Amino acid sequence: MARPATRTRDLVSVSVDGRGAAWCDGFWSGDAEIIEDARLAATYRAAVPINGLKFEAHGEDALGALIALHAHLPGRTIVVESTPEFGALLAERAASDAPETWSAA
Amino acid sequence: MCRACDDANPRRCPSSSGPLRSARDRSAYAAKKAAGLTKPRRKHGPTAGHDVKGGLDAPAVKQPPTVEELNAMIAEVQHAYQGSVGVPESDPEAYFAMIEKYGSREGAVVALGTAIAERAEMHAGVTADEVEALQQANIERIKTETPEMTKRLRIDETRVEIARNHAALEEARRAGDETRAAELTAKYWELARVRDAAWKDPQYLELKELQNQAQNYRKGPVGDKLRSLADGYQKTLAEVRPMGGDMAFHERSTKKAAASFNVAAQFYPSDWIDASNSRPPAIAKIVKSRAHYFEGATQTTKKRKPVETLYFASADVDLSEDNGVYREYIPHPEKDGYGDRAWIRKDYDVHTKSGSWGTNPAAAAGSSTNPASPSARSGAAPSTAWRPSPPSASPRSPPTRTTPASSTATPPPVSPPTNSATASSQPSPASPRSNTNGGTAAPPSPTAPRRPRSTSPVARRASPAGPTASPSPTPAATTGAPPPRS
Repeated sequence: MARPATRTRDLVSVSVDGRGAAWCDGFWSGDAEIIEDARLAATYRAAVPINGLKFEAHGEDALGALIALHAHLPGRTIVVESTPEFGALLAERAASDAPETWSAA
Repeated sequence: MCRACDDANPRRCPSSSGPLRSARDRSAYAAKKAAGLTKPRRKHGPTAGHDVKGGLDAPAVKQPPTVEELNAMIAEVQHAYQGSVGVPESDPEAYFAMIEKYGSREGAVVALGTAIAERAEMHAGVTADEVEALQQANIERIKTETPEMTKRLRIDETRVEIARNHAALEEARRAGDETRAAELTAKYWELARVRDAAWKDPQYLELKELQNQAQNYRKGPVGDKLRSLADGYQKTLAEVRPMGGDMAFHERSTKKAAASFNVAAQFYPSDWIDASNSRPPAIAKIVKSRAHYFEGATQTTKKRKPVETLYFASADVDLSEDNGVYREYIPHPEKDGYGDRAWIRKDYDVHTKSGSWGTNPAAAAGSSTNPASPSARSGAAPSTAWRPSPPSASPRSPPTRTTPASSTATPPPVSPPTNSATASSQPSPASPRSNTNGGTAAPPSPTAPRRPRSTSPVARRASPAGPTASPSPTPAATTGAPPPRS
């Protein structure tokens, strides 16, 4: 009897200066400092700056969790596992109210 | 089993359910995998956007930033930083604008560094990822082809057979079996030919060269590309900030070490080098032990100096008349007292070894008519340059005075007493005195140096003043040797 197919769970992970942290279906794992800041940001729905724009963090889905994972060191966070919604959100916000930078020129 | 987690169903711990456990394990595995990723995200080049899964990527930048854009970015970040920690009080708006733009202080610096790296790679014509990919391809090729090459050329088998042959040969020689030893010797040469043929195989040599290049990053195509990258970085940094300069090293630095450091100094900002040059000069050496550096340390040079002795003479005696190339008397009015004049006597040492104390500069510059000097003895014209003493003379021994009776050279012309170079060496014809060796010794002129003044008041009272009441001549005085140093 074959094993029943399992649901594909949302997974996001980041790397901050060689330290890793991830969120998968409500579970936070990884570096203690990153996780502590991420859980605080998700709990209080903090506005986390990413690429110069503020995003609201929460722990309800992978998008909010990925934003919360940026709360520790936003400028040094490298996204390893992401969701398509995150890229779409960034592109939307960047097209609407992104400041002019040399990279966008 | 955790009964406290679920009182209703104590036999089933919720933490061990399949979905939760899989989510937890998957999260932990993802975090562990993410911890190994430290590469920054690139915005252009062959790997742009490929090292990050998901959609974080901003629109890929095809062209690297220009110098004007880099300078504007540097000015913006520097103005926002203000060299302070925390929010600067001078212009907090600029700081918050930087935070809004780049996310954080660190994000601004990372963005600036990424921009510089992209322009450096444009100058180099190659990206760091390409170099890494090339190096990795070489390593993979070595890993793949080395076992095949070793097997095809029977390198390992030949090595083992040679070792066994050698052991058997030793055993045969111990047993005295010359026939067997001859057979094994012939077999060794056959194996050696196989081994040498393997070593000369072109493919084997190519693989070995590739292996050397993989181990030494300065050789081969990888080394060339890395050099191009280094030059690109230097060129880019020089565009936004003056780079390079000449380091000022201590005079005792090793030239080879200083030249080697100056090569590396071209990669430092010019203001860093200027700041270093404004400090006491550093010393560059080549050491075999661990290198070290003390910031701001002052290098001291121990130079040999003339021995200085304090002398006292009566006020009507001018000891400077006894000046010469080997000694010099300098008045020291601060120490005058009790009707005596104080003098500082400098004893110079003249010899050919390094670290010489030199000669009296004033006397050497005037003339070298000292009878003890070679030029004077040979009748040559006086020269301002110092010439080495004859090899028979002890290099450190004090000069002995020559007399007309013992010297065959033409006596030098009498010069005024103010001539410090000749005053001490001229024998006084007024009162020649015979010494214990039968020859004429130095004249007991009042210009003869006195003993150093005794610190004992009793001795000072007992010592009469004036040239007529000079103490009895000591052996040192009769032989013309300088008085003992205090």
